[in-house]
Amino acid sequence: MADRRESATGDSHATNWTAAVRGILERRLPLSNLLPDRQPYYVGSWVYVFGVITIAALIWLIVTGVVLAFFGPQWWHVSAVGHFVNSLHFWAVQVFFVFMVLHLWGQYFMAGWRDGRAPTWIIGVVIFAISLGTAFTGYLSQQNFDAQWIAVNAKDATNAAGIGAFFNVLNFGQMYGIHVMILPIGIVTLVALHLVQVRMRGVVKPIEPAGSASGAEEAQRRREADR
Amino acid sequence: MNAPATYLHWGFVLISVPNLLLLIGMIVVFALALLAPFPHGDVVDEAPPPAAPDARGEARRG
Repeated sequence: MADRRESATGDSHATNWTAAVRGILERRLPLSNLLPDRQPYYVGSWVYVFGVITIAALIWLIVTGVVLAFFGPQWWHVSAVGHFVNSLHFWAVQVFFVFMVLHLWGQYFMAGWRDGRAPTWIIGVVIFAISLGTAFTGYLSQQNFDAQWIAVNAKDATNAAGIGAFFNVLNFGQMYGIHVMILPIGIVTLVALHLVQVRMRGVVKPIEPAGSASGAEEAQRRREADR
Repeated sequence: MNAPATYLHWGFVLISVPNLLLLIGMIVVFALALLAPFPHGDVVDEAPPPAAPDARGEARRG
């Protein structure tokens, strides 16, 4: 069955959704963009490494988190190996947030949303927001006095905000479920989307100095775009 | 690490010493990332990657 027809100009038009999706992917995300083996010269900077370190920390978080979820609170509180894996999870969180914020600073100062990259920026902001929620529910899932202290204080705040009835920070089962399942699915999905967005449009170019020829062209182009 | 942190207080700014040290450390790492030479940074490809066309079929700038 033919799934596309050729127009007089040689353009093909999909006649079913499978061919339409394939056409969009072929045009917008060719394999050479998805798995590039060459990068522009400006990628040779440590600033571009922050995002990769963040993803490495995320992978480490998932691996240690799966181990913690499998053995449970009793194990991570009383056994030596449990303490160790718990610590790995905790320090991976520190690395994750530190390098996510460094990545944010880097992209902010080079205006990473330029030239059609607004979706990449927005998805990154949403990932950051979900990560804050995941960290919060993680603190509540520790099953120690620290978690109780945070939960009791947060209960007043969530009640005052009007969400305490359906987001009950004193309910360990609810907080734990949100921490190990719902929010991680959101983060992993959006990180995948974030990476696809980066590969579709390439890495953002550094801003040219204002005095340079290309910098002046860029400034002129932006003035015209703002009109 | 198992004791309450010392807090610094200037006007409306209230921050614990560990948080302040972390913040300073992040700024130092950021500055180093801008200034430190990248290994083999001089031999990477000069050409920008092929830009994917957008919905209107126009190529994006690198």
